[in-house]
Amino acid sequence: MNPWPVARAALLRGWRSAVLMALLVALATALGTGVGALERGVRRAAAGAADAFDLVIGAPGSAAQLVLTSVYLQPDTVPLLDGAVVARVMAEPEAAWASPIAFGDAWHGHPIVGVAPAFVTLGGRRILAEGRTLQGEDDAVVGAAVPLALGAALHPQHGRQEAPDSSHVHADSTYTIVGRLPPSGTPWDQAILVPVESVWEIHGLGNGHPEGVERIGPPWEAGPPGVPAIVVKPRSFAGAYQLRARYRTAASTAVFPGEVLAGLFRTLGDVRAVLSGMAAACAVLVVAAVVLAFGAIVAARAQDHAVLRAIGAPPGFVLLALWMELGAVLVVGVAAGIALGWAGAAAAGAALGRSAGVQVAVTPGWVDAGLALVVLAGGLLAAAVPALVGSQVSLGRALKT
Amino acid sequence: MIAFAGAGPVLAVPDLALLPGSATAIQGPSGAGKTSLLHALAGIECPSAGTVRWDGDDLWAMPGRARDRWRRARLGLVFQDMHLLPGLSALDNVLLPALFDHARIPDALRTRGLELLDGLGVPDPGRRAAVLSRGERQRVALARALLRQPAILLADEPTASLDAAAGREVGTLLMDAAAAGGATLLVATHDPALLERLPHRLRLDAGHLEVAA
Repeated sequence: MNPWPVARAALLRGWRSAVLMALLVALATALGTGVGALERGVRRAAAGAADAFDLVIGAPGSAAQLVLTSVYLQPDTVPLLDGAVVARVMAEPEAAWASPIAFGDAWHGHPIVGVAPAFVTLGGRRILAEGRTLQGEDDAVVGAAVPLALGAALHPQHGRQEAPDSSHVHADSTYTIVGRLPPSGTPWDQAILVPVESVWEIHGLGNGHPEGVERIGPPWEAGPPGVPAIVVKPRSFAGAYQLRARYRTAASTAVFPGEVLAGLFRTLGDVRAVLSGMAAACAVLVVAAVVLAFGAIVAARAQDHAVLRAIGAPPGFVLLALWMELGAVLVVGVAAGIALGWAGAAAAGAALGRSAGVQVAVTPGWVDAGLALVVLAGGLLAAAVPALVGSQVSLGRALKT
Repeated sequence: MIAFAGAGPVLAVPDLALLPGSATAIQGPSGAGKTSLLHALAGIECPSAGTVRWDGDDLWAMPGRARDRWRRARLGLVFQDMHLLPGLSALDNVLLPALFDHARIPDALRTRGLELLDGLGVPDPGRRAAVLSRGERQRVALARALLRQPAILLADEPTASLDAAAGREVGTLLMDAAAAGGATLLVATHDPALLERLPHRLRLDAGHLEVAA
């Protein structure tokens, strides 16, 4: 028995309704697939961006805001951590290295971030893509996506507007590009790293060193000015917890970005669960509607099925032909939906990444297709109902209509 | 005896015997019960009373599956409206009954299908049924009925939807094919040209069957 040619002929005859039904199924399953893939991509991108930030210390306030500002370079006004606390953190024996993170200026929308030289190489772990690290107050190391070549010079601009007027340009201050960071897929690809001393000086705060000393990096014997945040690389796991506890005081707050992200991910996971639930309900409704519509199509074609039976087809042949017909629509629809979901998630991830400066890589995973495959299995099961009804057609009545 | 009951008895055939290899016409006005009689004889519509025996096989005493098998093996059916699958080619329509038993069409049946279409004057067996003329479609339907060399050939108004010339041609092909295969032919028709050429004629009027003049 081979009912496929009959199913294929029916699909060709009613290709418009078949395409429409497959499209509906595809759109419904794409939603569920896309939500899962996008959430996973965002989660991975967000976690990856925080890799270099073991512990962040800032002024008392919102831990989430501190992480958003320091890790993701989201511009916001944050209170400054007192200079005395900065000096204490920099001298902590549990810290392998530490670096202030000081914002304020920019170049054509690229944030200029004041840091200690240790931050550029992450304490020796990061190899520059080209050039060298910061050695003098006028040196700058650019992120991978900053369109400035080695040797190029730039004047910092106050604020983060992309095309500032001349009154906002610090014309008396010039940086020369001496190095480039490797691509990280994080907002830091857009940043320009400069010695934190130069940021302080531009804003009239001195350079933290005694009068006449022009070197860069800690210690700042003259007492460093306040900064928005300090990123700390603890020497050990235990040291990380000691430092966090030590700087959770009335004068400062200390957070593990991973901990803050875990809370955000929990919320993200909840949102995904809600969206996945809605997508599942939507898919079930669409498949139910498609099966009902197919039932109406089967009823309208009762005479064709009666003819098949009259010329000798067993009921099972008609049943299988109808089941294969709707099954093909469901298989094509679900397969297209999975592909569409992944493509949609990739597009949404790219758009999200562009706005947040994070590279959201959405990779296809069968875990996303789970809902779609459950929908397919349910649909194939439900398809047996109209197929069974169609195979039990009353021959005499159908042939006379 | 075959009877169909409705508000009153709509068809009552006390006795009908057909000789193997004979060719018989059933004539009568629309609504006289010609199609119902053919359906009962084909194992399609169960009469409310009576029996149908072909070569001793009581059709309506058989289980449904056995009746399906009997139709596949012994019966060729030609409908007034052809009832081809428009998405299939002429040849695939002819070979359709072979799919009920085979996953892959045997070469011998494929060759027979091609020979039938050629003999019945369908020039391009690969053309889709949807684009064939009515005359060509009826020839394809006839080829489908003849594929398994049936012992019984039942035709319900095979020329009614054709013009006179095409009707004449199809009528000739039907009778020739039945004669060539030694099949018992029973044709329900009110086409005078076809009636004239069938050697035996029955008349069905208001549900009652009688030998026509």
